[in-house]
Amino acid sequence: MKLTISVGDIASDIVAGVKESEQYKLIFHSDWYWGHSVLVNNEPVKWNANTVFNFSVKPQINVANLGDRDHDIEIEFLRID
Amino acid sequence: MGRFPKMIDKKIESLSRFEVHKKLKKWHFNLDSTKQDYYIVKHIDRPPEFWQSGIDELLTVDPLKLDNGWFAKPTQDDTVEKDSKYHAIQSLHNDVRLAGAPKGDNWFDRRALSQDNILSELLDEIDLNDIDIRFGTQNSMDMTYRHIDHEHSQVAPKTRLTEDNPQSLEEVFTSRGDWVKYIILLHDLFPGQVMYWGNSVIEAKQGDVIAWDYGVPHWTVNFSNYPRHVGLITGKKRS
Repeated sequence: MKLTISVGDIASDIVAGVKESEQYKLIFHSDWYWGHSVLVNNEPVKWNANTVFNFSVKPQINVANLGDRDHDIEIEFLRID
Repeated sequence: MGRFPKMIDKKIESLSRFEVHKKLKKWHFNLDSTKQDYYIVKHIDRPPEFWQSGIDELLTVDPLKLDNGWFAKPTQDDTVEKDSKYHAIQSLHNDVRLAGAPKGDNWFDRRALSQDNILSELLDEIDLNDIDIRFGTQNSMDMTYRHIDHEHSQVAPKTRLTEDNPQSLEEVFTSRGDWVKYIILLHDLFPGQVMYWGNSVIEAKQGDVIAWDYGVPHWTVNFSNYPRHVGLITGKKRS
């Protein structure tokens, strides 16, 4: 699934409803900017466009965009079957 | 009268604080910088009971809820104070408005220090003059939007702007004079409680006193199920 997280958006465990699998990918399609907050399993992460995180267990992902209108967070989460 | 000079008043009405700081670049504003953008001034060593007792006492005080609506429209009754406060933080209001952030989003609950609170002992540990101390409780899923503090004007603009007497808009944005702000962690951060300072994420523990250079943008969010309590101290460096 693809998500655009705009300023003012905040959500916890955004992939909780994704079906179980043996492999997942989190792909960022935008650069990190001041005001962006993404936690993967409670660890803050930073990224650039095209940064990919791989998981063998479904992660907990928390997101918030506390920056400005010109800088959305664009992410894609994939379940690999 | 403790207000910005008229010239500054006029110009500041439409300015984004973040964008002005970014343009003046007193902080690096480099997304690739790996420099730590905060520092720990000192550690205040007290037993866990001290901190918990202070937090429990704090929570008996009625809080002021600081939400985006509060930032967008100050509510002081006194006209002079309203004007001076509004002008002192107008550029911050502008950033909140420009972000289009929902007005109901709560940054944190702010509380004053009651005289009998054990946390008043903290004042003896802080090497600053003219100390103003407040406490911030950030509840679950609350957040502070990205912002930059103007320590020289935010606490008591009626007096401090007069004292520092900025003569130009650039002066307001390039220096906070001798004023500094500290944050004291009243407890270890729970997983999911994050404090971003510039390009850094704060790693600190209960009793740590955190400071930063003027102009560092910062924002925080609480994804945990627990409130996050900090002390907010503004004061003037001793010469």
